[in-house]
Amino acid sequence: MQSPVRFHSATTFEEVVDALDELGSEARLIAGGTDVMIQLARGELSPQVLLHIERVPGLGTVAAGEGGLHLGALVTHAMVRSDPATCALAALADAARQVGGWQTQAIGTVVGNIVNASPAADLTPGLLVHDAMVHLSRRGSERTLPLDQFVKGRRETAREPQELVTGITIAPTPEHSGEAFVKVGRRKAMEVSIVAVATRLVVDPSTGTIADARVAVGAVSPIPHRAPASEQLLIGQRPTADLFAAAGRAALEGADPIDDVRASRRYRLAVLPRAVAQALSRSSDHVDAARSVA
Amino acid sequence: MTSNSVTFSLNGVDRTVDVPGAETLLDTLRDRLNLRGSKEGCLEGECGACTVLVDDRPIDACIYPTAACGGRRVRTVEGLSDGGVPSLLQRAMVRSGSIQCGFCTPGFVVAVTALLERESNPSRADIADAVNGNICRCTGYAQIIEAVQAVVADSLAAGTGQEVEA
Amino acid sequence: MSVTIGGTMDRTDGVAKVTGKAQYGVDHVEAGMAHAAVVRSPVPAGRLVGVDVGAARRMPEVVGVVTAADQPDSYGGWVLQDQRILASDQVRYEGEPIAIVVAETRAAAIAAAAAVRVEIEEWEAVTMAKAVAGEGHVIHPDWQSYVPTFGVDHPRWGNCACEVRAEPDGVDEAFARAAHVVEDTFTANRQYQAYLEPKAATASYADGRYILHTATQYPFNVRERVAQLMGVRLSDVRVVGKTIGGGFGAKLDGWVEPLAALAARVTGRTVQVRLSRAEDILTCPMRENATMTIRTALDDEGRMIGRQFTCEMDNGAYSGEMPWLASLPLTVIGAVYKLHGPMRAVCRLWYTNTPPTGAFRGVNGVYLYMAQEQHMDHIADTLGVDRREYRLRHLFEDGDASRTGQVLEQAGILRQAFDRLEERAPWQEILDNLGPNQGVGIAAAVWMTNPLPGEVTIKMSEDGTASLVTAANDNGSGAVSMGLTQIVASTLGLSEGDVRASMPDTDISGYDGGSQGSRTTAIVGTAALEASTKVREQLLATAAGLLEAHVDDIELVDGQARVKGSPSATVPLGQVAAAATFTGGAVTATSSYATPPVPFDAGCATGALFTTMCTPTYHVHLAVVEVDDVTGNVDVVRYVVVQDAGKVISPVGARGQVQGGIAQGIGYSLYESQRIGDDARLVERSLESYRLPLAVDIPDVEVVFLENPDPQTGLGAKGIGEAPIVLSAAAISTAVRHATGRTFNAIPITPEDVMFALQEAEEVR
Repeated sequence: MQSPVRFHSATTFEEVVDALDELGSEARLIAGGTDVMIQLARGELSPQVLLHIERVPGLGTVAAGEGGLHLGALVTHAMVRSDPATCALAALADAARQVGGWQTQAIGTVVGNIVNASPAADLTPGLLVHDAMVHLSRRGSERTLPLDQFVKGRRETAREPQELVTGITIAPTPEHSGEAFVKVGRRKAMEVSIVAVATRLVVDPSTGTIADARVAVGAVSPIPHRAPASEQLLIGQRPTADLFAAAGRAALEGADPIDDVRASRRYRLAVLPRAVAQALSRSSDHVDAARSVA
Repeated sequence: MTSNSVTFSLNGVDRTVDVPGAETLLDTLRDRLNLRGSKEGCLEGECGACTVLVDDRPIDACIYPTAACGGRRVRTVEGLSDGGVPSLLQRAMVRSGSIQCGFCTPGFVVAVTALLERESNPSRADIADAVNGNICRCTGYAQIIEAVQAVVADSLAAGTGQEVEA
Repeated sequence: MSVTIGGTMDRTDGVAKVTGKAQYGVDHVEAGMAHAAVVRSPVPAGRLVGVDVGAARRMPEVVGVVTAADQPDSYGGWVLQDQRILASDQVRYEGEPIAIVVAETRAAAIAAAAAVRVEIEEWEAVTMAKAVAGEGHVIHPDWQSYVPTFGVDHPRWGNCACEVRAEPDGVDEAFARAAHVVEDTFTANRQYQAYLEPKAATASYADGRYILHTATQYPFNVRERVAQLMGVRLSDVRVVGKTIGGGFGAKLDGWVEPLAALAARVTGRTVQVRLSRAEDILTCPMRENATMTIRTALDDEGRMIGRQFTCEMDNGAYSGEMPWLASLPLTVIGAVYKLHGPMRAVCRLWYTNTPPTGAFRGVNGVYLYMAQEQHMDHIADTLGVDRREYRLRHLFEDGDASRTGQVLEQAGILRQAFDRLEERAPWQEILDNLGPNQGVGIAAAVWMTNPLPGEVTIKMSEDGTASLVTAANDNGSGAVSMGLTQIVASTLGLSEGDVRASMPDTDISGYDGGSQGSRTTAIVGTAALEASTKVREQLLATAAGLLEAHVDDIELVDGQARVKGSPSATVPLGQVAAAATFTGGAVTATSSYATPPVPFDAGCATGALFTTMCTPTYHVHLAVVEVDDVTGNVDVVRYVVVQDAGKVISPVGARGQVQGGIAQGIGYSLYESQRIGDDARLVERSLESYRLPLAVDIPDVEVVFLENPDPQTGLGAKGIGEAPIVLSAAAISTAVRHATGRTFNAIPITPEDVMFALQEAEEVR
């Protein structure tokens, strides 16, 4: 028989870090629980304590500050969809819009999506494009890690058992930029990504060439990652369909997808370059649209 | 001590239950509180048949812990009609052919109620998006969406805004 | 307000369903009820060496554990009696029940079931490919001893559960003189019915009888299955229906009910079996996977002069309804379009180490028409003729016959359907206006209405309301809560709220053939019309006395009897019913109806159990699709249905059947893979990987109903529910073929299939 789990609903930050300090890996943090409860039911987790943090004050806001936009640990996908600050960031907002249904978006958190560390985590590519930093706290200390150093592997992060991820910060968005998120799934919603791509282009308005390029891909390797070969190909060039297609092909470098029930490796490899090219094309369109509005 | 005493408002009435830590709100509602309008369709948040409102947000009760509900306001399909007298939304769903087998219907009623509480004039795309987490195997959805559109049109015409589902 | 035929009405179960009050099978509760968990085979094939239930029996709250040693030594089966309740000597599919643990709570039962130790010597599993190739062990070593339920056996041997053969003269000669030969091979995956309510049943045993409360589509079939498997008389089993949370064919046979009955018998408790979604997927009698080859000889004028057709179907480990369906290809392939020559056909049903397959709305029609219509496109392309034009040239007319010799008197409706489609969606205009990556498909079918008998009793209450007592049940379609209710209410001048339909109960109602094959509104509706007409006559006679008028001058309107033309001369129906009851006895009438047998050519084939399409219906569908060249996803952007309904009784319900059927058909065609691995295990095992279409995936279907009344049914109604899904894979696959210029021989057409085809096309370029 499954050993009974204790549920502790914390109401203060101190309560959480104290409990983590005491329990370490015996505690499983839970916010909306949309991943945790399923894993628990499948027997993939067997913590002693579910440490519930939804009531902890101060973790549920999107706030602009020095260093960029801060998303607290309890910021949900629904908030990312609706908050004006995040709404403007297509690589994030479009990803949040496509995480499960409303039932998941209403209580599922961005930080939860990152900490769960699924290779198909929908928010991770968009956050990588935005140089996200992850803030961790434990009793008496804090630290901050770049997202690409935080996610270490499939279901594996740099979080120590005593640490709470309190939020993430994304860097200020440069001017003349456009971004996009492309998710590949069989249906138009409720899909675990088969391939996910987030891109951001900055186009120098004086030269019309790409000043900065970010390409991040998910579900094609154990860890969502940036695609430097694609990015290098883009920088300094004029945005064209051929260039985007070439950058798409370059994204295959570092991609090592698996065969699973959702899609074959062969399909993922076929679709990745096309999805990258499409995301780049949309990003470029967004730059143009922003320019024409300005 | 592995059980939690949890008190929450259920359809306007305070209820206290003693539940194991990982018990889902769906099991609590159906098996402890004998409210069987919320349905078990998949147990993994894929079908939405168990959708309930917790503090006005639609959630899948099959993957939400009851112990997290302390002090919160839970509304189920049973609480969305007035003593069994259907709401305007519910009536429109009956009329427009939104219901066939009806097993998904409570989840749709709850999910759409959440939509109409936050959005007084949703587009067709908004409505379809709001029920992405709800599977209907019978109707092919068109008549469900039309029912919502009819309620929205009626309420806008009547100027009653978001009070349609009361 | 009185209800009218063809008018709108609120379904009478709607309020209960929309407010959460409807009681489904999973909601059933009885005093003293215990819960069962089923111990299932973890492997697809093997010898069952031992089952150790000792630890499970000692678990908390366990009432008892049932094993094969506790079951009667009897077999059961819808067509062929090849099943027992629990596996005894060998296991034949992953998920097959081995033991039942009964406990005070569901959680305790599940926990104890996990403590049952099963020892199995695993064998290499037999898949359909192996069975067809003659490889692997014989899954039913005792196959020869199995008894056919209807008394007539059919050709079968070893792992072949049924073989149907049509071998007319002249086929080889036709191919020898052919100007062209066109050949296609197709495969179809399984499709999971995926009703939202997982299967559940509650059984008790007392005084020598079993009482079951279950959300079944076919109470009398469940009664028979439980009786066979428990080795008792039919009347020793009583089946009481519950609101059904969808079935689509998968809840026609008894799969969970015998488990509950056996557990109740052994433990002496009322026992509920409720499947989890995972168990439901693993054990559901899905629409079978199949492979087909179709080969047609054409003369120099492009006429089809001969055909060969083979179809291999996966029976799974036990037969259920399947041997019945093995002959359906004979009635489909070679119908709709004129074949001026003979057709040789071989259809075989194979036992495999996979879950038993079964009925799903439209049964094998979905893949047979997919094959026939893609083949028609292939032929038209070969001849260089427009696809629609080729179909029109060779379309059946009134009096043309199917390959089983059934004369289709109204087949001319097909041309009418093409004409109406052309008005709605002009072919050339569509072709001219297709966007990039778009394609259009067109397909036609003849389909049927299940002929099995039904019975209706109408009882007038002294308050003027009517009870509609029947074992026909509303699987969600509205066939009872709208169709039958509407027929009764309109005949008696009542509002829908004044007709109360019973839940089915095999002790109370006469035999009913279940909610299957689109039959209820048309077939049971005929009985309902007759019974309510008899009641109407009794009411009119009494009202004539009360109103001192001639019976011919009385009408029943809005719950009243009144003299035509004299609005003031009225008497409430309640008063009429009460007067009639206390003078001549209760006002009640019972009628039953079954479709008369349809003549056919008995010599058309061997092994054919299902040879005719009763109350045939005619349909044309058009689909426009768009292919996403980034992902290979296919989007259905327009879908038009022209459907022969005979007579539309409930327009809201009829439209819902079409919209819902097409949604399932889109799922079948594009989304719903249910693959079987080489190890005979299901690949998709949850609703996350088995993708059901969502609201954002389904277009609003355009529906045109044709009303050509059936000469036999009461109101001219024909079956509606199944036909929509029957053509969806045909219309969509031909549209994808048009959009991409490539043939997709497997259903569903997945984004992977499309993407690889696009890649190949690019490489060629």
